[in-house]
Amino acid sequence: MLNQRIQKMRNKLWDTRPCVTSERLVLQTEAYKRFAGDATPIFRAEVIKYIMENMTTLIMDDELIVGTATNKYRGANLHPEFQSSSWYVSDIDDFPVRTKDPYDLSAEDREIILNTLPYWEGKSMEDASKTLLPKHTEECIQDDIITVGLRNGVSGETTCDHDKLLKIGIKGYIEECQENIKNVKGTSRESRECMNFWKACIIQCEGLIKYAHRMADEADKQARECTDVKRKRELMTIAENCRIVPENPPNTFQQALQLVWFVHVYFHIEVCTTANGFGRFDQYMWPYYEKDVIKDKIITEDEALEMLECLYLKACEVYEFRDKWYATSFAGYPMWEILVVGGQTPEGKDATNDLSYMCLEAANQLKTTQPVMAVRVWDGTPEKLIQKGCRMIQDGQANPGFFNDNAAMKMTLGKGCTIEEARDWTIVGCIQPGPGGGSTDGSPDAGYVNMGKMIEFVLHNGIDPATGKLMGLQTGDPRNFKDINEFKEALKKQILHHYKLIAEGYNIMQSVHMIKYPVIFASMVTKGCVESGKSVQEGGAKYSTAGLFVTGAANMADSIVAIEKCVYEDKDMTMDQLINALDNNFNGEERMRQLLLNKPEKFGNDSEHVDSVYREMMHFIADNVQQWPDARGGHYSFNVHSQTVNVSHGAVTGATPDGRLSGEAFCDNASPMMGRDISGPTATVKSVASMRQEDFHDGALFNLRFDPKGVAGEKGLRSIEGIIKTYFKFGGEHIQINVVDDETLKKAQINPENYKGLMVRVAGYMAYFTELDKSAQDTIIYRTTHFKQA
Amino acid sequence: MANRPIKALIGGIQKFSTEDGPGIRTTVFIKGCPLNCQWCHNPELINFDQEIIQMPNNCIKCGVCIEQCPEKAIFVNKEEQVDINRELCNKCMLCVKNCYANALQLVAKEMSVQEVLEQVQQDKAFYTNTGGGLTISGGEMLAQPAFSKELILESAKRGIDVCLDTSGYGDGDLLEEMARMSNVTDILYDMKCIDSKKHLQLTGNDNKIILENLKIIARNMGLREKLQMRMPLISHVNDTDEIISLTADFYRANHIKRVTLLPYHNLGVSKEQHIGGLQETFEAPSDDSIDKIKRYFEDYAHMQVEILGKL
Repeated sequence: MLNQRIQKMRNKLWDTRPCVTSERLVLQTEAYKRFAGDATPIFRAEVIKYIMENMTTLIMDDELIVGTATNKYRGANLHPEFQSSSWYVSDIDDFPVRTKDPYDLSAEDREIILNTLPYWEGKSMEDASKTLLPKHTEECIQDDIITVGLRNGVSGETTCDHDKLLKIGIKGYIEECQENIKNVKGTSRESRECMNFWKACIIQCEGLIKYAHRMADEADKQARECTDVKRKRELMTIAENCRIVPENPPNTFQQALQLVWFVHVYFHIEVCTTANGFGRFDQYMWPYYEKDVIKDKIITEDEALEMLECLYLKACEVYEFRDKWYATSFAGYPMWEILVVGGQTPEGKDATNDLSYMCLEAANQLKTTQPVMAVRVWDGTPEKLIQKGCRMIQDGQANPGFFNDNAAMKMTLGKGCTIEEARDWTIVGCIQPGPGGGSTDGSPDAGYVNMGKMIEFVLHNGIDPATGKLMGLQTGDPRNFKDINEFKEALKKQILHHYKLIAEGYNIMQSVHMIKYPVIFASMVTKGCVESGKSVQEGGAKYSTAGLFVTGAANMADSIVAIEKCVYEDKDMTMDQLINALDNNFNGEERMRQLLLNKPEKFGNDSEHVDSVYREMMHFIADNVQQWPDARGGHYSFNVHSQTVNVSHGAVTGATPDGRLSGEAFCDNASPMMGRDISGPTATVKSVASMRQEDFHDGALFNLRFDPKGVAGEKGLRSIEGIIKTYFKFGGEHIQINVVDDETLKKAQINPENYKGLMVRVAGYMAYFTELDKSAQDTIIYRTTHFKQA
Repeated sequence: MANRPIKALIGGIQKFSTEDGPGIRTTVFIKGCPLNCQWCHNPELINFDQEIIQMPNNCIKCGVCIEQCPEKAIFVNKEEQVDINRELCNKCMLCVKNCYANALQLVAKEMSVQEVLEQVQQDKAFYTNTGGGLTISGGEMLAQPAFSKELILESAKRGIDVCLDTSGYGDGDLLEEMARMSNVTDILYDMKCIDSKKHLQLTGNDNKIILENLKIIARNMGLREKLQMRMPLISHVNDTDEIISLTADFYRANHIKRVTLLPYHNLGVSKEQHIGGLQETFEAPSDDSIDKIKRYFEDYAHMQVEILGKL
């Protein structure tokens, strides 16, 4: 049960729409004019410091943890240094009304923004990228064949070295940088650049400390004006906290939370970043919790929980404002602020503690989208922790996600870290495991390849049927292919070619970020940067990787097997007939489509043949791309992971040989194509686990869906647990479980084909939901609704 | 000459079966049942012969089945759906073979024990992690004694636990033999109606054999512990105070400790239609009435009672 304060704060969150604000834009524009001419790192640091010295100090009612990224509650900043002001201007009236991720905009802010933006015309990274990338690559992006990251966003999806931060405070970093500057020898260009980086770090540290002190003044002011005795005391504590942290190491649990938040929110003021995880929160916060709650009993468990929930609510206040395309592809205001609990210590002992449970409980009570909870599971994880997470799943929260230490450790070791760092792994991005201790810059999003387009290129000898243009490689007329191997070889050439386009383009973008957009503060708190005097953009982090993604992986494997079975083996149709049917989106060929849908095996049903084709193709990609260096001396990492780009990529891709219609979304992440896994969740789990994920350095994202009946009660709890443990036993890295709700069932009624695997369970009775008649379906929907209320 | 492998018509192999015994299970449905319960929820598994089942939701109305049928048994009915005149059908299955949309399917597939176990084995890790295993159901498993026995023995070799799901209508010695097998951990035993006359009227057979077999199992303490009674409850048919009271007496007298109540649902009605038959619709007991029955078993017969399959 939420207490009154938290309830009130959460209601406010749910009742307030995110908005776009203008304050930072105005301050940044002033600062750009004022500081232009300094060396890049120093210039960028001065700009941020200027913002910190002048931005509104916003402390809202009920808050125990303070600090905001903008001058308004749930506000988003514009970043015209990265994103093009041209679409800010052209789309401005669409922001509040667009269907995906709308943002409110006041008339006043609108006017200020429009008056300020002319300065930024043509100055953004996004504008520059148009001439930076090869013309063909740019065309491939426009046609949704590939994406290339860093074009309108930042490379800064770092995880902070929280242990060090808490130990030395920001002051400690300043001292370290001063020491480095003192010791730097020689007069080379490189040493000058290092010096500039350290100086920039100091400037930004001063900016944050200044902001914290201004927040302290604001809290004092509010305290003076406050007539409520309890709130007055809270405000005085806030003021005291802000004078201690982030400058100094924290003394209390609340100060430690405040420090973590100041640093976190600073990431979001500095640049338009996402996926800045909270790392292994239950580990680095444990000493403060243990001291205040258990040893000294300064605060009660309930008070600690309340403070923690205040932090979680703050995590819901930061946004990365995105354009229409990204708002569709990453729908639902995602920020990937992952908070990890459980797992093992660097020494290989179980790491679970009281705070691990409390972290889950806070999420369980709040039911907010951020932070996203991640439970690390290994042989030594207490049953109780897994069950705590499973109960949240049963409740339909689809949170936490579960992670397999064995698989994640192999992945991180593949990135070159020590065994201790592997045991201490944490999430960088969404599900990508990085070596622990805040040592990784993941830059997770280098780009996605649209597998549906790759199939189309093979079937049309390099022509994109959507545009009629020659976009892919000319791999020959598929009508002349003798067998499925020739088809696969052609497909592999197309795929590799397009990953190369991404990597070449991304390396160009990285090199520009190095010169123009070093992210100073986020780099400073990442292990390796202060030591090397380089930002993460320049390869300063101890480990640097860049993630390559895939959309339509299952559609691709299913398509290969469909062609193998129906064209080459059973000769149900010729290649020519198939291509014609696909070109016409199966118009007049529904029977052929049904054959392609129902006859060949599909990924997700524990059938070794199709699973092996999937595995072969994914390993082909990983084995190649993971050899490639990025521009900073890091490496590319592969992950079977689509986010919701499967929707935007599917929308522009014609019908595919797996029976998928033109424009339909591709499969979700590493899951089978929707409606094609018809053998129940155990079979799905085994198929997905069978891809030897440990070799993909950035892992695989797996969403699994259940009927609430199948996982209800104590028995259901054991079923969920059994599913998770077995998935991990077979090598799966990550699993997220969604319990199906009545809304989904209603959608399945309207669009049965995409929900074929949806099973409904009554004792001894076997039925697929979509094969029931309408009245029976209605009964089940009633039951599901009913179940939710029960 | 090697022995010919034993085969049976298998109406389905359902993985992630969570309501037919403990843990995550795979339930194997054997086709054919000597009883003919009026409310049967798997009516397509009653007949011992192969049948065609219609899945009208899958039909794309391509008309190929109508063209292909040599007996002209397939037609478009008043609801504009493809339908089969079962009297004309010679079961050549040409229609099924040519139905790419799976709107016409075979109810069952003839499979050997080995073939069945290949699929069952796939989920072994899930059984180990949850205390699950194989459930043999039907139809009636006792009606295919050789196949069922072989399935249990072969499962034992593979380290897979088995749960029997039976009406109890069959060879008692055989049932006892199976029940004694060490890898048989649970026996789901139906109690459709304690009143023999009514039983005859509702299922086509009286319950004499069923109750005798049940007593055989129940008198051995080791076997009794495996017993889990299952009672379909149909309002005003087999849930009267008198029937419940007699049933509870029987359980008490035979020291039976676990029962599952399965309130009636009408999901069998459309399946019966899809194999060309007609099933009467019944009423489910009210929640209050189910609760009353539950408490009676608990209080009077000191039983553990669970309610499953409630819609």
